[in-house]
Amino acid sequence: MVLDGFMTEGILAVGLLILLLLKGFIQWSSFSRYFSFLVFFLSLFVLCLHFNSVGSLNQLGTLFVMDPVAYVAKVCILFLGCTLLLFLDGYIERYHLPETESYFLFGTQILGMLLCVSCCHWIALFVCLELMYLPIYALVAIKAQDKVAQESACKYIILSAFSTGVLLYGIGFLYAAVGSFSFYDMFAFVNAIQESIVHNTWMTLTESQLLFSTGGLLVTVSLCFKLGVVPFHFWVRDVYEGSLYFVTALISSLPKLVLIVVWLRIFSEHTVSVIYFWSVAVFIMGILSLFFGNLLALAQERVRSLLAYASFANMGFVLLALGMVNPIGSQAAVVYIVGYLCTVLLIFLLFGSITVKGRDLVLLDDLKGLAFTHPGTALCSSLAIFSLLGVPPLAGFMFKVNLVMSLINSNYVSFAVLVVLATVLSAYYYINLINLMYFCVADDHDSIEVHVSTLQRWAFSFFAFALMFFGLYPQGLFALVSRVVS
Amino acid sequence: METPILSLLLFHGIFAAFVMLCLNQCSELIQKIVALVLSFSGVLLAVNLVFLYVPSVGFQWVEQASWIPSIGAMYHLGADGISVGLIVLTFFVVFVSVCAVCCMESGQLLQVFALVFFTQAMTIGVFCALDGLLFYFFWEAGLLPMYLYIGRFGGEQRQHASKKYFLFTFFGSILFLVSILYLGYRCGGFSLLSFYQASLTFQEQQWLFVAFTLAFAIKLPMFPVHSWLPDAHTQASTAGSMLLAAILLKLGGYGFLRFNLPITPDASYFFAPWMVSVSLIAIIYIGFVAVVQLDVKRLIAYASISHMGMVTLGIFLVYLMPENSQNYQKMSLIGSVFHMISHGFTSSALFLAFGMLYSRMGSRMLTDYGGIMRVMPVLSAFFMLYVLSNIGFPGTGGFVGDFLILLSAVATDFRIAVIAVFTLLLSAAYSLNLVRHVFYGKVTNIKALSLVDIGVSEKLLLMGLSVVILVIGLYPECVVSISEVSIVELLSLAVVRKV
Repeated sequence: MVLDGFMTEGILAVGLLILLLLKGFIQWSSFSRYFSFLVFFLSLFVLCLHFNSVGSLNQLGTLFVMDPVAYVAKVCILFLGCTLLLFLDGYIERYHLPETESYFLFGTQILGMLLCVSCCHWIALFVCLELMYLPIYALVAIKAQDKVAQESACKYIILSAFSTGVLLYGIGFLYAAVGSFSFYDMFAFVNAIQESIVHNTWMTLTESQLLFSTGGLLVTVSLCFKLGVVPFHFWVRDVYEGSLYFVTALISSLPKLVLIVVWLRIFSEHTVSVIYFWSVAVFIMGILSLFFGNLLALAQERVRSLLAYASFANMGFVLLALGMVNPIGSQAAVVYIVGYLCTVLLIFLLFGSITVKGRDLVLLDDLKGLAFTHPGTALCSSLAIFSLLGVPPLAGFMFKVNLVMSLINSNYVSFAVLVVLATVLSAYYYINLINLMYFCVADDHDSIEVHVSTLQRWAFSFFAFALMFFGLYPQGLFALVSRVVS
Repeated sequence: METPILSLLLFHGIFAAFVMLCLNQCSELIQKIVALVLSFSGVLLAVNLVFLYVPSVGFQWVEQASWIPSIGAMYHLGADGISVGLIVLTFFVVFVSVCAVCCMESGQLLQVFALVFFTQAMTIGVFCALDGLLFYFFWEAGLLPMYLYIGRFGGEQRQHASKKYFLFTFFGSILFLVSILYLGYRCGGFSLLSFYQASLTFQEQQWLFVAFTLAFAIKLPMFPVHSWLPDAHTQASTAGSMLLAAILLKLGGYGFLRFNLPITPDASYFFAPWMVSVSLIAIIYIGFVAVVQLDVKRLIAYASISHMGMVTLGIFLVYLMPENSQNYQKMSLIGSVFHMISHGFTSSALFLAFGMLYSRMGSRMLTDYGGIMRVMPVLSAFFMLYVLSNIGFPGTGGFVGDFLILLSAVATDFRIAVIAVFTLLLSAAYSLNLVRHVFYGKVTNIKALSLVDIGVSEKLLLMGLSVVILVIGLYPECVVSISEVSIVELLSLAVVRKV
């Protein structure tokens, strides 16, 4: 059947519509919550059922494709989506958010993500990216009475609209060069002109190469903007600061995975060889992000700003690995991004569950003495922080080693040195966090409260355990990802 | 199937740490007893290892298992004469520091014990690892427990000291990681044995040498990058200082022997004059710095740095010797290994003995003491013995290493020997200065008058350390015979030219 590989998205879409319809008739207050849980788990279940049929290429028209990369990405997205869902009701209660809308928006953006990783057509990609981002803008602004949230949502939507414009502009150029919106036609075009490429100078490019390069660079810029990479990073800090911890956890994690998958789909070795200046541009952005992010993070006094700037540095690692455009680089990038987003999700959800004197955790100093009052929360956060820093025996270390190894294997030893030097910079602010939690004594012992249900505690323990496990034995993940990526 | 004895040693610490963490409902007494039993079982394992050890070429008790095949890393353990000595030192010092914790500390003992055992496990991992990545894994993971220990249970400046410790060592080791990964890429695997066989160009060797040296020099620590150690020592508790001085510093020396010499022999030859000069500067300059210290723990810390200068001097003298002096080369390396082991015992004994005093008086300042000999004669006698060993007095453990290294310095170049011999003079100066201020003279501090001499358990502890120091001083063959064969083998790798 045509829809075979896409049952998951179908279930999710229909389920969300039913949720909206039924909510009008059902008064039961927890209905939205349980219904969306049901829909999510059902779609995850259906996705898992498809495990065997992934090998055969499964296409939906010319727009979507279901290949191993998409499959693994979808499992990842749905799994993390379910985890996030566990936390949503706590925030709804605490901040009096509109319940049905929250679940609906959350579900829609997950749907957008699921479709996005399957796209093989520029217009479909554009539509799905919007489907993914529009609910996110709304989620940023969901705390309707909060002016800061409104401000950051406005900034986010305006700047994102601009970057989407750049994307469309790039797609236009690509269409002019290739004459079709399909990725496959683009690959065929690239293969055809592969031989005729004369490198080195701007002047020797033919007209179609010029069009293609311009389009490709514009698309790259747009994706980098959405990834939050220096020099397209200005929105990140404001959006992180303005939104709820739950939403920050969301925007700092899943969209990045989606964008990396899209990136891998578009920028194959051949595509990149046609785009003039591409590798250099990506490397420059990568190195800028590494140092800019780490240096700025050193000066932060607010938790979310610190993590926002630290995220640039991590995207820098990923960009360097992606810039090499070879299988080991891609494997390293995917492994790193998956590890990174799980860790970041853990940190944001943990910090989100903390309130200090009844308000959110804002300043670094609010963390003082957390280990004395809430040892479990402090332990999980410190595991995540050490993992981000890349200290054994935690997963982050192995993923970083894998990434540096891929740089060295591809003869980019100088980049490997830069990566580790940037890590030393990051050590300062990560260690500072640990110092605050473990070695400082709080001024007021009762000020910190942690709101965690039993189920959420299990989720945290699961993530913490996974960090330890992959730090000791990452082979399974490495092998899986390299098989999928190749 | 053979017993995987090295894995047993490695997991002993991890197991012990977990056991301690599980005991949080029990009373303090039970926790102490369990910790003592666990650490004593470690000592028994280590003693067993010495009896099992047969001096021979190559590594023994080799274990090999797949770990991360996709980047070529393996779980590969093995030990030779150099590591056996250090493993025994580790278990012994861990036992003594657990005893010290039991005697002197209270409150949150579980965490302290768990951190101590975790440190032990990671250190044993470093001494046993034959896989480069595994080595780095333990090397870096060993940083965490000591960082947490200093930061959590240290003095009033503990935050600053722990941060400095972490950042210094992290910075040092991170380039070491790149060089290990580079070697892994060049050799197609991370086995140290394949690193030894790798044919590297001179330039590659130079870069690798610099990266290795940065890591080991910071850990050791050597002269220009030593400033974290005095801070860490002054802020750490007694047991923390003991572990730091006795075990963690030795990791640096061990790294020099395992990585710099056999992997980059040509670069070592090239850089040897520099390394020797820096070592001599450490001996003289840091010796003078130690003389003017008023803080006792700081003084012992600087003394450690100065002594570690002797170790690096011994290691790199090998490359400055004239042709056909294999005997002296061997002597120089044996001297370094011996010095590491004897310094491990001596410095931990010094920190322990002073810790006993500190826990009663609550001051680290020389000026607050005086005339302790009159109120605590037994402690003073033991302290005097350790100080003599620190000076390198004949008959104590400190003498042998100093003597061997100085002898080979004479064989190399008389000028080097003339400078190096100042170590004896300077260490006598600062050590005796310490003794004079703390133990002799009149009792200046009223608090000191009410002191009572140490109890039976403390006496036993100090007695044990004294016996070890005297035994290895009077019969050094017991250490030398273990490491000799391995050192000769190492030497054959170290002097071979790869380019």
